Amino acid sequence: MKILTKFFGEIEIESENTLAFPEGLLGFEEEKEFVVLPIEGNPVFKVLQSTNTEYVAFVIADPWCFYKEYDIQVPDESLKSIEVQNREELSVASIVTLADRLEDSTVNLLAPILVNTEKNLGKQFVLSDGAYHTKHKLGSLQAQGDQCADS
Amino acid sequence: VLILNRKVGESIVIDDKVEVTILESVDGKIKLGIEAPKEVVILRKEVYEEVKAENTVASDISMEQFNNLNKK
Repeated sequence: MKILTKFFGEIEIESENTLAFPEGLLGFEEEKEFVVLPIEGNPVFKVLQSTNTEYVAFVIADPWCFYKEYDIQVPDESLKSIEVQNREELSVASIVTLADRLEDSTVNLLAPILVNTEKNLGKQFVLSDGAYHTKHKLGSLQAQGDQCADS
Repeated sequence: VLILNRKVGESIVIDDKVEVTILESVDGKIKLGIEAPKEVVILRKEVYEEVKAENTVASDISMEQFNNLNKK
């Protein structure tokens, strides 16, 4: 299927690669379907693009690329809502807020995106333990990110 | 909006499964005790609003900002 994207223009995607977000994202409750698109030349970051709305797209990254000590507890009830039964099915990504300079960009560790990679089901989960917030600086941790891309 | 008056120690029950009890009231600060099934998500509204606002900012990036990801 063809979709319009915010950063890559019109592209062709396979419908089996789309992710269903039954609840949407916070503030984007009407966006129920996304696709993850790679960024050429930069394996650390990806784009989470709405398949229905061209301008709704988020830059995402593996949070452990930047915060190795990131520690999250997702209650069974939240895993159940995306039908995760074992850890291998679960993928965690964080939304990155890009600034004019990459080092000023921030990563949202408070509300990660959880995806069941087997069932292509996703949701945004807000952590309740208070250890994380929405604007952790990418800044000096960029080096770690580069290592992450190489591995 | 439904408005109810409650005193300290009194509760309300929502939909048979969520019980909210007023535990303490000091200087305009109310302490609530909430008993709910585990699948019920309970968040301070400002946390919810913060995530919503951050999502909005994160989705509102420009092509120039995006292109920085390709500059090494």
